[in-house]
Amino acid sequence: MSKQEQLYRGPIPGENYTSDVRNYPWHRPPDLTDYDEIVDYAFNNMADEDNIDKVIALLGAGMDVATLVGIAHLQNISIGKYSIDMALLTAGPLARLLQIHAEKAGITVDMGLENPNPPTTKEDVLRALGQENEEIVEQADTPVEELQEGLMSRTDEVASEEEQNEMLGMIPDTLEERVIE
Amino acid sequence: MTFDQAIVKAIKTFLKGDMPPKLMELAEGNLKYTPEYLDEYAEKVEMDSDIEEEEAVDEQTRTTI
Repeated sequence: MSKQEQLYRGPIPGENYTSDVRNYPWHRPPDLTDYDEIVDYAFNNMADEDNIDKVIALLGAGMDVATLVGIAHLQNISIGKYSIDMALLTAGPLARLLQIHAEKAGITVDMGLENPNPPTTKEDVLRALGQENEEIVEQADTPVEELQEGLMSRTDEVASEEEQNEMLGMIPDTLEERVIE
Repeated sequence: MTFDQAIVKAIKTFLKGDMPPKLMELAEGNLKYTPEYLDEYAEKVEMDSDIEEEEAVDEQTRTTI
């Protein structure tokens, strides 16, 4: 299938309004709404007999706690246990509980809070280009002067007092008024 | 911000000791899983595991005697 064909195979705008969204568990009211109940449920669900070995194996294999909490929450949201907002509110205590019990089991856990791949900055790229491109680095560091063009652009010149008064309608501009004065 | 990034941010905030103020207001301070509670719980779990280790060592020494 070509890319153009793929483009036209997507849903048409507004198609989502034609489906019965009540079929999805996360569109119905959640089963749990209490903060403590959700932490209890999520932790007990992870620490029950069927899952505890998997959780310990994953943590032991180097999976970080944040990722594990995210997976557990997504699973529970997908079955309509609690809302996304409550998942975010309870992520902290769930992660801490996992950390406590993993450490008790003798596993040194990675919380996964530091981003191992920070976004590439301009300085990183220039550094990667090497020392022979020092001029480019200097050019990049010097600020570019703002271009001042057009009628509405700001100018450094200040209008004279007479000009300012004229703009404010403070001085007579008609010939008659000037004659009277 | 993706869901995963939001989870990381939520965990970081909790580990700093901050709780969502509106949630605390709604619950009128009757929340169980606060940072303070979990710090106490961690200490308790650590103490329990130390006692278990001591008991295991005692049992080993008894069986060897």
